[in-house]
Amino acid sequence: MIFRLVPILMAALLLIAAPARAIEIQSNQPSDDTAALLQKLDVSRMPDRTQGFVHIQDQKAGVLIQPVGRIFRDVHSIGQFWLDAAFIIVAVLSMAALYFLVGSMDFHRDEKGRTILRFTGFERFIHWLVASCFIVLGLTGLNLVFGRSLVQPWLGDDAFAELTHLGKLAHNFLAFPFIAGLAVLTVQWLKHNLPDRTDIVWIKMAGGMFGGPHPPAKKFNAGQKMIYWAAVLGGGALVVTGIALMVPFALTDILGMQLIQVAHSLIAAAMIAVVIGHIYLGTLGVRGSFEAMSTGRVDINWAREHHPLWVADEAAKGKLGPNYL
Amino acid sequence: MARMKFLCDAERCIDCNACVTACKNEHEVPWGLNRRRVVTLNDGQPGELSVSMACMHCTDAPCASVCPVDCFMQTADGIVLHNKDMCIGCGYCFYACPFGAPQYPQTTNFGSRGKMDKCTFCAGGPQGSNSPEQFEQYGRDRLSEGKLPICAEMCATRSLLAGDGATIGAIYKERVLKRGYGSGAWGWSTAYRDSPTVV
Repeated sequence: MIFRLVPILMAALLLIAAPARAIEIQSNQPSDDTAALLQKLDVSRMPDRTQGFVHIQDQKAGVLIQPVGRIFRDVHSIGQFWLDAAFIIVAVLSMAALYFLVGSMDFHRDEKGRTILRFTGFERFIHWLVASCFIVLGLTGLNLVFGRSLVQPWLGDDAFAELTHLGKLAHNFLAFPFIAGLAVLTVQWLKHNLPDRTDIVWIKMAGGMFGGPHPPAKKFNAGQKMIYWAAVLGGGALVVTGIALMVPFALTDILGMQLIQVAHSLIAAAMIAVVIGHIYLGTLGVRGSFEAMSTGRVDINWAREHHPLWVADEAAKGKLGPNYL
Repeated sequence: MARMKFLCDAERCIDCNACVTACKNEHEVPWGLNRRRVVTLNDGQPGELSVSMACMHCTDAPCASVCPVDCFMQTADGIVLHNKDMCIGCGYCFYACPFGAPQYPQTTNFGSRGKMDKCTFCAGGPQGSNSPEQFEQYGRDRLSEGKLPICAEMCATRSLLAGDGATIGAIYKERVLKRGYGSGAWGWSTAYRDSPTVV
């Protein structure tokens, strides 16, 4: 295991320290020293990058040898592979633990079936636009990392290659509705997601997840705010790195492309982990919350339990009507 | 069994680009793709060197390791070939390759780079090169005709050597000891993780 870790650590160091160490070539003088000549044949220590002049237009071809490509391979095939896997496995296991050890948060449905509008149709459309794009982007992205070991063996080479090619196209094109949706989502919920004092209380009480009373919350509680900021910042990082990968070498050199590729994958895996948590809490974890994103209306008791300050706010605005009092 | 390798004796390379031209012509490589190129180091300075470089057909090749669809294979002779029907043009092999060997028909078209193209050691594709379609994809399969790669056969100064690693390593070692100098077999240690002195 230690032997597997060493190249990763070295790689991390070298990727940081890689920028051009100038190459020195001495003029050759005839020599009779056989040992020295033989030693010179053994060029096992190459500079990180050997660049020269080349007659073809693409000056990237002027890079003669770049042994750090080997390091990218270890970072990509070992480091990134297992970190991606770890993010997702940890997310799934902790949600399973939450479900089986702590259980769902339930609530008492209002006897008269009264509901309150939580998200407008437009808000829900934007949410599901981003969500559906993210699921396809996530699955096609995971396929690039794990498909070769998990899918290819039973799907066969040709079918898997075709699937992966279609997946790559889907990944490239669905990026754009994702970007548009994420931008609107960022704006539409920004003012409800600015941190305030209620969040501190909410975090101290862990949202009432592990028993105890529900801490008060406005439209979004601290946990939901964290999802929002993870989506905005993590999604934003994916957008930036993703666009850089779509226009290879337009923005950066090969070292940059290598780092961006690994970063895109790691951020995406972390985002998938966050979204796994989000899906659990929005469906099984907290009963009654899925309705907010399906019909847009939530049970009034659910709203009073989870978001009392928001309900009071809506009431003050006169949005609830006399039946609710 | 032979282990096919390339070796460029930089002391002999005169930057004539015959290897590049021969390769492009032999395999009818499309415009913009270069399976082989000549790089001049210290251009115009004392100690100027030119090195002809293509896919080195690495031992434990990084391109094969990072390919998401596992389209690479290595023949019994150590030649690294890839299946263009499977390639999705993701570009990872270019990020991993120490020699900048993988080429793409489109470079910045929205991430769609087309099928990767690279030197086949004149061995055609994974299934050889027996049909016009395979010729268009991979070029000629000279090896099965008993011929070595055209770039090395064309080389007027015998700078570029292609063939069994033990044989060309011994030739290079003998040259260096006889003439009393040599700047090393460029890329050899990176590609094959040994040195031409080990014969």
